[in-house]
Formats: sequence, C-alpha cells, structure tokens
Amino acid sequence: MLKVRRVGRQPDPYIPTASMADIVFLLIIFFIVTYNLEVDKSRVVLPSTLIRNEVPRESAYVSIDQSGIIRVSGGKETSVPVPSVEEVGSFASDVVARNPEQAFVVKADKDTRYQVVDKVIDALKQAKVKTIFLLSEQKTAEGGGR
Amino acid sequence: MRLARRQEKAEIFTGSMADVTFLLIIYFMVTMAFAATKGLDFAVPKEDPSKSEIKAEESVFVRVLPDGSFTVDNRPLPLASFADYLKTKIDPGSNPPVISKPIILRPDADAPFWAMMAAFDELRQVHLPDRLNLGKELNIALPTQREIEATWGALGVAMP
Repeated sequence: MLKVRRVGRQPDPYIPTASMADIVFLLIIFFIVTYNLEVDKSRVVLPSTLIRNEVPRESAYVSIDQSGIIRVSGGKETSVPVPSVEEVGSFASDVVARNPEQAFVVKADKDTRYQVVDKVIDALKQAKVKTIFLLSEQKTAEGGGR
Repeated sequence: MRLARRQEKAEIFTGSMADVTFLLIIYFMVTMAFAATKGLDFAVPKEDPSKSEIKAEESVFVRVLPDGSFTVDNRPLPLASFADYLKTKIDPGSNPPVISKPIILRPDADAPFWAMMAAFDELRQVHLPDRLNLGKELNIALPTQREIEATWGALGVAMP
C-alpha cells in the first residue's frame, strides 16, 4: 500500500488570546460600576443582625473602634479622628447643612459601651439627621446575636 | 539584480494588554469594600412644632442590662420570648392584628452595643409572618439619654 506523507508546513500550535482583553475589560467595567470606596478603614468587629438594609452610597460615617476612638467622614473623604463626641454634632450639622437628606452610618464595635453610641446618636439627632444606619454583619442561624 | 524584500505586516502588539487589565482588576478587588455596607436603619422622627404637647401613654419598655440580658416591662425575659410576650399586647379586636403601643428600647449606659442590636433586630422581626404576622411593623422608639431626661422631666415621672 502506498503511504502518503504530508509534506506541507505544519501550522504552529496557537491559543488565540485576542479576546482575553475584551473579557478582562468587561470585568473591569463591572468592578468600576460596583466599586464602593471604603471611606472608613478602622477595624471593628460589627454586631450581627438578621435584618440588614443596604446603606446608600456616599453615606456619612461615624465609627467607634474598640479603643473608643471616634472617626467621622462626610462620605467622600477618608475618615478622620475627632477628639470628643461633641465634635460629632458640629460635624454632622455641617454635613446636614450641605445636604439635608444625607444618611449617616454608625459603625461601632460590638463591645462598645452603649453610652458612647447613645451620645453619638443623640448628636446626630440634634443635628437633624433624618436617617441613621447602625452597621452590622449578617447573623447566621447559630450565631446567637453575639 | 534586485532582491525582493519581504514586507512585514503592520501589527499592534496586544499581548500585554491582558496583563495590564488583570493588574487593574486586582487593584479594584483589593480596595473594594465587600461586607460593611449593610445595617439596621431607623428613621429619626420628624420634629413637629404643632405637636409639642407631651402626654403619657401605655408602652412596652425594653431594657438592655450591662450583662447583655433583657427585661421587658421590668421582668427578665430572654430574647426568644419577646414575640410571645408581645402577643399579649396586640390591640384587642384588631384585624389584621397590630400593636399600636410604642416599644421603648432603652439600653443601660454600660450595656454592650451587640446586646442592644440583638434586641433591636428581634423587635424589627416581630411583625413578620413567621412570628406574630402583624399588619404593620412595631413602633420602636430608641430615645437617647438626653431625650429621656427631657421627656420624663416634663411628665414629672421618675426615670426608670
């Protein structure tokens, strides 16, 4: 039997990567659209709750960490520490004067004494803040709240 | 003799494009805030100057103690029994059932924040179909120490 040998040039093995950039650009667009700049970088252990509602974008933040340091942010800039709770009130008044509908987020460590949280909420109420969020993480069925 | 010169094809090199964009993706993923964007909300009641009169009305008083336990109307009650207790507070004859009495949530100054959030979370769920299946959410008030002093003082009642 006659053996036929292919003599022509073998094409190089090739993985097409041209579409890779398109896929990655799509992913980038997704991340840009869903991107939330973390304005408050203080590390706190949040209390857990079952009911959790989405915080509006660019909400103002008041955070209280484990050592009791209070930080504030208007929602766009990185949070800065304030010396006392009284400063939270004047800060909130400024923010509300600029945008009366501005929502505030209280990001407090779960072991914070309630007195501190109470003073912060009171300062926000006096500054005529309309909506306050108490930041929490998802409670699991066996989590037990703590 | 003229040598035929092979023309090279014009090409824009896109091989490194994917690398650059992957780097950008990694940047966005690392700096993105994932979890901390949800929480328990409460709307602060609007001030109405025409309704400045304060009157005492029957309410359910929930306290959070410094050890993280709770009392409801001055009786110790575990979190899991809140719904059962509040069942007795449903307005008689209401259909669908509603509790119009305000619920006052008052944590002690030394109570831990997590315990207050646990009580608040529980009270926010009482109206759900798997609990009491109420016609509307409970009217939960979270008065601050200053507000309590002002209101209790105006009513001439000793502070609890």
